Amino acid sequence: MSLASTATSISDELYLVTEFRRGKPRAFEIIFNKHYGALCYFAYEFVDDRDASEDIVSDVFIKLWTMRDNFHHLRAIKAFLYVSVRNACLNYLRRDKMMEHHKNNLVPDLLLEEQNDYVMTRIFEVEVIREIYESIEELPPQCKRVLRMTLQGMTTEDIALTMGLSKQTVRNTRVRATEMLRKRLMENAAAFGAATIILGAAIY
Amino acid sequence: MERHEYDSFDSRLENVFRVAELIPRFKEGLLTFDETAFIADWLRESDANRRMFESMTIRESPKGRIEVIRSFEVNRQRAFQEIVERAGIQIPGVRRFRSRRVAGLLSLILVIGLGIYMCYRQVSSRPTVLPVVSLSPSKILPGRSTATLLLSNGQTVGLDSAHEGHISQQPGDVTLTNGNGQLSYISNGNASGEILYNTIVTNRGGQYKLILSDGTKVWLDASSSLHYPTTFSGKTREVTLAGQAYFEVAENKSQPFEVIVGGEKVRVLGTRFNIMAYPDEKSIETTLLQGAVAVSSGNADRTLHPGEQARLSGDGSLSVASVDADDYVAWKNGLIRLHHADVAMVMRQISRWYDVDVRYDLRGKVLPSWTLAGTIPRNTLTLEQVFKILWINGINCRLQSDAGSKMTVVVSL
Repeated sequence: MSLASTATSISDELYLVTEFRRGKPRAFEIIFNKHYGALCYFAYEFVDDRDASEDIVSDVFIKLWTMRDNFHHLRAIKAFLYVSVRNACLNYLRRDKMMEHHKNNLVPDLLLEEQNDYVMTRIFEVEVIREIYESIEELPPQCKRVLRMTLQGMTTEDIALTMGLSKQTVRNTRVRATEMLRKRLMENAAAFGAATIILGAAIY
Repeated sequence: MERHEYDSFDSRLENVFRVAELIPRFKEGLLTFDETAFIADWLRESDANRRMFESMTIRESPKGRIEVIRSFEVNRQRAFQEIVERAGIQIPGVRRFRSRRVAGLLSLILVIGLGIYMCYRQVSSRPTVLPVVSLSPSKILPGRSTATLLLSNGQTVGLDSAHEGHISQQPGDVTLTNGNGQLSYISNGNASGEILYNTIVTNRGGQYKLILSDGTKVWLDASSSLHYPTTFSGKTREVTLAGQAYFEVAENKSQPFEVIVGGEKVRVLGTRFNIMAYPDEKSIETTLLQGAVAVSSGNADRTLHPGEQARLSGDGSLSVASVDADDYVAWKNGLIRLHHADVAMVMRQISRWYDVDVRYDLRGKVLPSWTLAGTIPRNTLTLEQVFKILWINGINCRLQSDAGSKMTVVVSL
């Protein structure tokens, strides 16, 4: 669910956080749904084990729920989630250092400084991907499928074969999809100022 | 990790989130001036920042990594169920979004059993997208100051910002002006023998304020009407109400103010009170904020003190209870306050204020018996925003236009 992505207005986020602090399971579920996949992926990049990633993330969400009184902004919640998952992953790695599997994982050995940069970069990347993932999920079904396959590296021809469409339809659908994404991005402006500067070209 | 390290990491992290949010717009060339400045500053802060930015904008296209996230999403619902169980999260029997009173509502806590759990699971296994809308509820604006005035000669005048200024009627013993959502009667002192009656009517989505010739102020809510004389002569000052209104009565001990509503007569002595008398609600509620009122109906007579509310129900019984009086007047300040409001009552309030019909599409399910308590700011929220609030509380609404263009909200669970 993307409550915050349909309209990234501050009041929507504050409302969500307020409801969450008051213990509304639905608000918790929204926050969970928004971040679960990305956090698992983030953990997975550390521990290289799917089950362990999921366990770590679940534990962190339970911790978040019990500490819900402490958070006033969605960003604070995100920070807590990522930092907690990071810490849990590092603990996991230290414990399993002796296992062959992790012998080559140098993260726990990095200096704190370097660790922070490394982790920060991972978080940044995951968050960008999450935003993209979220916006694609909101597309209508056909647009979504075409875009997903495109991002997976499939050729127009392969997509056309898989979906039983003509190549031109696939191209048109892709254009429509990227236009919808772009339109949604435009609607999300409002957080900062008013004037617009064009920077860079579309890379999608 | 040391506290100070956590803090600086934390604030770096917040900026990382902000920048990550902006990357998709950056790639589309949609950044605003301030956003660009923000990113530029952030890039100047460190090499690490610059490397991060480059990795996601110049070199990288996410491709396969999106699929990895999706592969974890497959288990998401199951994972949430497990968390609910492990953390002992209770599915609420009473859904609140601002709680003021606990007592008396415990009777509505549903048994936390497999049945309810399955019901909740049903809810959370629905795809988590916003309710599909055939129309855009963001276009449905909240109510505003608009009403119709019916003069004694049968003429009607639309009251809104388009008709400001004097309204004349004969005989001219009052001056009548309309402006800023307010209709004022000022006595000219030339009392003629004839008593004229006016009626002010609000429809759904309307409200209006009135100052009667004795100085009494009346706030009229949606779907309401007030019938009153243009000047008050006689032993009492009598008005007739349907719907909901809040009164601040000008003091005049020699001429008591009376409100006739439904089967009830409310006699007041220089006070502030609210009367809610909608035909589709189950009782008429008279709530006293200040002063004293006597409520009588048939054979029953009760006197209210500030903070008390008289309830006259359909069977004619009259009861008095202590309440938080401000809650019942909140509507005049632009807030829909709900107390023990079941789903149907919430929807009736929404129907009146947003001027929509309501229809239920329950597919054999029963409306839940839990009730809502809380506040919806009604002047500033569009219907879409109200839908979001209801959605969080388990009520799904979508907007539809039936043949004949009436907007209908379809409620499902």
